[in-house]
Amino acid sequence: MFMLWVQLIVQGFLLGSLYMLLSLGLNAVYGILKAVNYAHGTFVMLGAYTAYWLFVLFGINPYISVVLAALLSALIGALGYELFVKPFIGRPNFGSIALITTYGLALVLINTARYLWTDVLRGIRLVEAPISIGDISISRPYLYGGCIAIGIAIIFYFFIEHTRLGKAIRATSQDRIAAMLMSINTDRLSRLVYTIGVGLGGAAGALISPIFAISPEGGAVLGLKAIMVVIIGGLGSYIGCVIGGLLLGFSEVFGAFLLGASNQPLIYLLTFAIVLALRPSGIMGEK
Amino acid sequence: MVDHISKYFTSVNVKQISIFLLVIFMLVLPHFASPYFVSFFALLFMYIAISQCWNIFSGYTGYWSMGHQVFLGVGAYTMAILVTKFNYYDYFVLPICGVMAILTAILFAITSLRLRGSYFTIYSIAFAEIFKIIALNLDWLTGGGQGILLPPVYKLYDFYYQMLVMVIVVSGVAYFIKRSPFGYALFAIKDDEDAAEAVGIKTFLHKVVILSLSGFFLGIIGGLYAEFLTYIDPYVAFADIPLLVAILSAIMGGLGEVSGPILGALIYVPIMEYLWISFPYVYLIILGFSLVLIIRFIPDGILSYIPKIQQVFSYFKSKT
Repeated sequence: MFMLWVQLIVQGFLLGSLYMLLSLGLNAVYGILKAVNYAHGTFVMLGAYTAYWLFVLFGINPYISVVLAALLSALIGALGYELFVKPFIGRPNFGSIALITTYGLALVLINTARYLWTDVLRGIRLVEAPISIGDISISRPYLYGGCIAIGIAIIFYFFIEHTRLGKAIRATSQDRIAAMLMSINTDRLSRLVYTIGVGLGGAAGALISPIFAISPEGGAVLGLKAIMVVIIGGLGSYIGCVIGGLLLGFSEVFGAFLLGASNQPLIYLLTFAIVLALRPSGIMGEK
Repeated sequence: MVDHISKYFTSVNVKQISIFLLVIFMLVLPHFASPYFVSFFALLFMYIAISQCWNIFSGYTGYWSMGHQVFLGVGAYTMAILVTKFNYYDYFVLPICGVMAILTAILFAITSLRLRGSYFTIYSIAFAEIFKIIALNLDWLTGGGQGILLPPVYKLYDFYYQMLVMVIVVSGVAYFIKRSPFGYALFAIKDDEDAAEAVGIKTFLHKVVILSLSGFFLGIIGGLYAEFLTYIDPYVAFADIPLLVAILSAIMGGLGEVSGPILGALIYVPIMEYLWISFPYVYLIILGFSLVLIIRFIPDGILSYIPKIQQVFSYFKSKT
């Protein structure tokens, strides 16, 4: 029985670190724009599709196509930013407006994907035996995905904390106008951060492609999960992102174990509602 | 005497007469139009009513909700469950739909109205999603993903008149709220909530009341819609696209104006209907682009251009 709990904890930890990567990009975009990018999940879906097609057509391992998926998502994201986000910066009520316009971006991308690749559920099947340590067995996609996610998160952390560009991003997140006065080109920085954030989403998509089924609509669900992680953790806080991701991963794994898999969505939505009722600005949020 | 009557007629507003004539025209329309046109107009009225309901909450208070479909869904499910499970169909069905939606609205308000700005908007999306998932998982009550089949009755003409009445009632309510102290308080909340609180407006109570009112009408519309469709499942009842169209209609016409949603829906819904018929596969892609175009180029609504047009006219008048 004890080993079962260890197994659940390991599983929850790996799933949680995937969720953390899923929401890291969203968090970065919120930090600089002060607006939630509803289309984030759609870019996750695009990354997953990139990995899927590279796997099916050329037999490339999804863990190698992570980079390509990130680049493609970033490219489309830059285009989407120019059309759907940039014209509205500076409007009063920008937070809500950006949410609606990125909702439109999500509609465009989801339905383009649906038009091109139909609604069929797709998935990458990597036939590999799970790794067993004693009584614990871990499926390989979770293990690899979780480890790569943690690696990317650490690289991103160093980028934000220890480079000049990262410093500029932090400064702009704290006070946009003051950053502008310190001769930081905030417009270009916003575009860069949006591109990076969306690219991180694409990378997460490639990592989850061997785990979850891929469909055009599936991105919306993942996007909602990413939004929940960020809100649970507190918008704009990277530590909160880690905590929120792990909390969601654990609640999903333990909830599915205790209450049955069909109630899984209910469990993470309940976690979300409880956290928000207790702390409206998230666990690590200011105020 | 004649002089008196003619004076009375000149004092009646042109606007009032045209609204009166329009209502008469809409009342007799089903007697000569084809069923397609009747159903088109019925759906158009439904969009106007939904848009107006969204407007009296979000347009008046400045809290942009993207989860208002939850009230439509709750109303639709209340109707479906009462009719199929309890075999109850009476005059009280619609008020019950409305009351259930009010209870949902109060739950929504209590959990969300401490949040502001984009936090509130995100929470509203999640709230609607929670209800959709509950409806999907509560098999014994809602039939889960299979949905509920209502007794199939041909109700197109009933639905047409019901929606017409809803449009008139909701627009009337919106009109009276806007000109009442209650409405001024709501606009004060929109402009600056902290200042409104400071001058003694009970902001939380105001928001709960207006959200409940908005939810009440949406619940009734949802109930009527379920009755008209004769089949609902969670994806139909809690669909987000109709609400999105309604929101865009309101923005296009003019937020916070009574005639805004009506004008916006009259222009936007027929365009969308046409695109839906001619390009069924790329319809939603076009919807996404149209959304960004509307918010970008007519952010204050078409109504905001009327003073400018009047200025142009007066300029030409002064020339001649």
